[in-house]
Amino acid sequence: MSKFVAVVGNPNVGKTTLFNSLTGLALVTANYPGVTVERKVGRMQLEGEPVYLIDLPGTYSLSARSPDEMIVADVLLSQQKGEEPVDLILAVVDASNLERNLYLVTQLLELGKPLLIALNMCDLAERHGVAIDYAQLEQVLGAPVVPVCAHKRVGIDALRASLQNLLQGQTAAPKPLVTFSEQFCESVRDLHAELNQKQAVIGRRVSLFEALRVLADRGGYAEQRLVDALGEPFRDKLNDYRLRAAQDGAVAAEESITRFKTIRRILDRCVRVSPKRQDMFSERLDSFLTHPILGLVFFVLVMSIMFQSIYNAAAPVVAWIDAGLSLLVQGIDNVLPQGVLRSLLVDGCIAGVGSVLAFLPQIVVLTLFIALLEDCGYMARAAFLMDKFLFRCGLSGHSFIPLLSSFACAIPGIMATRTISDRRDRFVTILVAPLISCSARLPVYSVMIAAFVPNTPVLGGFVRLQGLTLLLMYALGILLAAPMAWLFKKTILPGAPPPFLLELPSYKLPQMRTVVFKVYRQGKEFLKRAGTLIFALTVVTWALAYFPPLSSNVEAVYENQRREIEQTFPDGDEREVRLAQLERDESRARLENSFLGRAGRSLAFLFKPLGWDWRIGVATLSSFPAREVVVATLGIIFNIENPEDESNEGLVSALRQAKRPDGSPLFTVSVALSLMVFFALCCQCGGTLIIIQRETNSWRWPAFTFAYMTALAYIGAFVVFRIGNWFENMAPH
Amino acid sequence: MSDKDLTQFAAGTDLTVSHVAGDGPVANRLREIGMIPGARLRVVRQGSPMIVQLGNSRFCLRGQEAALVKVQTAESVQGAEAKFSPVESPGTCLF
Ligand SMILES: Nc1nc2c(ncn2[C@@H]2O[C@H](COP(=O)(O)OP(=O)(O)OP(=O)(O)O)[C@@H](O)[C@H]2O)c(=O)[nH]1
Ligand SMILES: [Mg+2]
Repeated sequence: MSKFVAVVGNPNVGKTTLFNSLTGLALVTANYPGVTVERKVGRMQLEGEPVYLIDLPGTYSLSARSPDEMIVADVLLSQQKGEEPVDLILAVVDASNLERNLYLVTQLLELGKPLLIALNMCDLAERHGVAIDYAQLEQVLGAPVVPVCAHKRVGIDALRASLQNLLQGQTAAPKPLVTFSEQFCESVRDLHAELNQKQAVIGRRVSLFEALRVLADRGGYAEQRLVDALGEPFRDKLNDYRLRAAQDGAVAAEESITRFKTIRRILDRCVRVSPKRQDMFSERLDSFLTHPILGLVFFVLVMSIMFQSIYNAAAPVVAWIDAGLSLLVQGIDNVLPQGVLRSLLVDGCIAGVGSVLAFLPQIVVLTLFIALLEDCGYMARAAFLMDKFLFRCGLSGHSFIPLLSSFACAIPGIMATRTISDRRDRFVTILVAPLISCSARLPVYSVMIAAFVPNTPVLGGFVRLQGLTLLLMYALGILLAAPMAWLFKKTILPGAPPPFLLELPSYKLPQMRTVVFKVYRQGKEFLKRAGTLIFALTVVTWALAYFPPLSSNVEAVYENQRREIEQTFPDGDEREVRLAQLERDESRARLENSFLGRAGRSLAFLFKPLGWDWRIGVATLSSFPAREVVVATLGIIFNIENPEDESNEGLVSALRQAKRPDGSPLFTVSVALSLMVFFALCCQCGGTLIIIQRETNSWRWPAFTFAYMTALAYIGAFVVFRIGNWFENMAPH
Repeated sequence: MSDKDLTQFAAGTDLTVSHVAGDGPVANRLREIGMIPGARLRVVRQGSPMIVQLGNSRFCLRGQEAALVKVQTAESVQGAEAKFSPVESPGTCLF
């Protein structure tokens, strides 16, 4: 019989860290409250028996108001459908904040399940001058207490031993500690009795603890679920119960105050606080980093350094990958004869998937920065600083972490919105999250910037133009997300700005393990996508660009011309140049004749206002399922066009050499910018749309997201091209 | 004696909570993190959002939420701690 253990605790107390030490499974941890938003299960072996650990989102109490708190309540009350009941609760408690942490513990004691308490952050407690009598605490709470230090893996063996003990024996559940007033208890019991009479209508048995939650959490999740089952009039009845339970019906206040009274009594017996040395380090840092002006300056500085590094630090590695790919192409050229197979490998796979792969280093640098900032505790400060700004858009600092995660990828970003309790604020955040420039846009920006933006130093040499352009592209997403959020909050999802209450963790040195795992996971995810989805789309695009072949009549014309050149020019440079030119012409004709070319040319009118020709348009269309594909498609299109590109500088030079039919360069700076802006604003990501559907439980929202972003992208690209074009025409050549 | 709220004190002030007003979700959450009568607070940064120190943790909250937290300066409540002293509670066990 396999056993299930739920890991529960306040936000940011080290649940995931402990979970990882126990299971060895790498889950993402961060020094930011509310990082675990989805229930994750890991496996550990205890004496050969498998034990499943469930890592739950952090919560201050079992009164559920946001979706992630509902997950906790559901798992603990065993109300997840089709799920094994939890055999044991592993409560993770922050020893340096015992009073607040024990609040949840007093609730857990009432669930009638065996409980094991892991007292984490013992190092911090010691530093704060908190001395805990563990044996005494264990006795008072009536549940085993194991001191641990999760991030240093201290006490893990003892914890395993305790787990083993509790899971093997027929452990009785511990006794509840908190006692409530006479009328309070009576009212809850009466409600419980009534609910059990209505068992048939509700469809299940309601526990006494759930009855308490229904009563205490006015407008909460438990109440809503019952009202859904029993009808709206039941709400009034609940209010009667509340009036009976506490003065003015303030059940929640009565509950929390009573609990804390008990906790004070416990602490008096088990904890001695010596005149505490404050966390002077965090305090000093905070007086600077949360300063309304200096803090913002620092924030902008950090972000600039981050984007500068994405470009500069990753550049050499990107160059190596490109060089490696060129070698590979030469190798294939030597081995394989000209033909379909060679074209598939060189023009399809390498030019396609290869050009996407070359961006791995940049994605690693970006994730590395985010992981470092999260783990050292800075992110919560950034959320604090950004709250003022988000407040103006009708959101709160709680939306910051989902939006920031979206810089890596909108999918985890959208999942992270579960910590937002208000439905409308959550939906608005979901709607604008895909506007934030994710790492999949990086390849597009990179190629365009490398090809068409000069790398001249600007602003006194502090930054270079390429890095600055990249920063601006990223800024564009944010600058548009803000007014869009404001607009949605005013129109389709109206409501007051949500409350904002966030814990600021102490600063600490980032944990190497955590950071490396996070970067590794993101990198792996990227490679997996490149190897599967992107690869498949690339092969399809290549086939569409390769077939059908030119008709034999046309082939014959080119063949004749070739023979003519060979006869007229016996040898020498002239002959080589002319032959190469002919080959390029033939390739272009082949591309224009292909399925892709035909489709592109018939849709050319759509792209013309944006300054694009049909080739750019086709590349964009092909990347609607996944935006990175555009780089691959551009690679395929321009590689097919330039079969004898001996310089082999890859896509960048191919794009620079691309010409319009009249011989002028295809890409000007304004065309490049218009393409970048389109990609910055468009929702070209099937995965994002699917996750929006899952999180909002309706197809309306993904459809809406897709529509508004596509419109925004088209308008944005149009405006940028027009303005850029005007400047280019003004400037002397 | 009318209570002032958290927004009315400068950074660096030590305060004692007298109560959190209201029975809505935000008021409840504030109580659940420990803002109950007698709890000690310190204003770290004033404004909206503001930062307060509560025990060994820091929270940031907006003016709107902070206005729910009614407080007194630490000196003016020397005796108030008694209100919350560890007398054995008389209540009955619910479970
Ligand atoms: N000083 C100290 N830090 C720790 C300890 N255990 C974990 N941490 C750090 O605390 C931070 C939070 O850890 P997580 O494991 O993400 O916390 P969590 O409880 O899963 O957080 P949520 O899922 O957001 O609720 C990380 O930066 C850890 O490295 C410990 O014993 N001592
Ligand atoms: Mg976690």
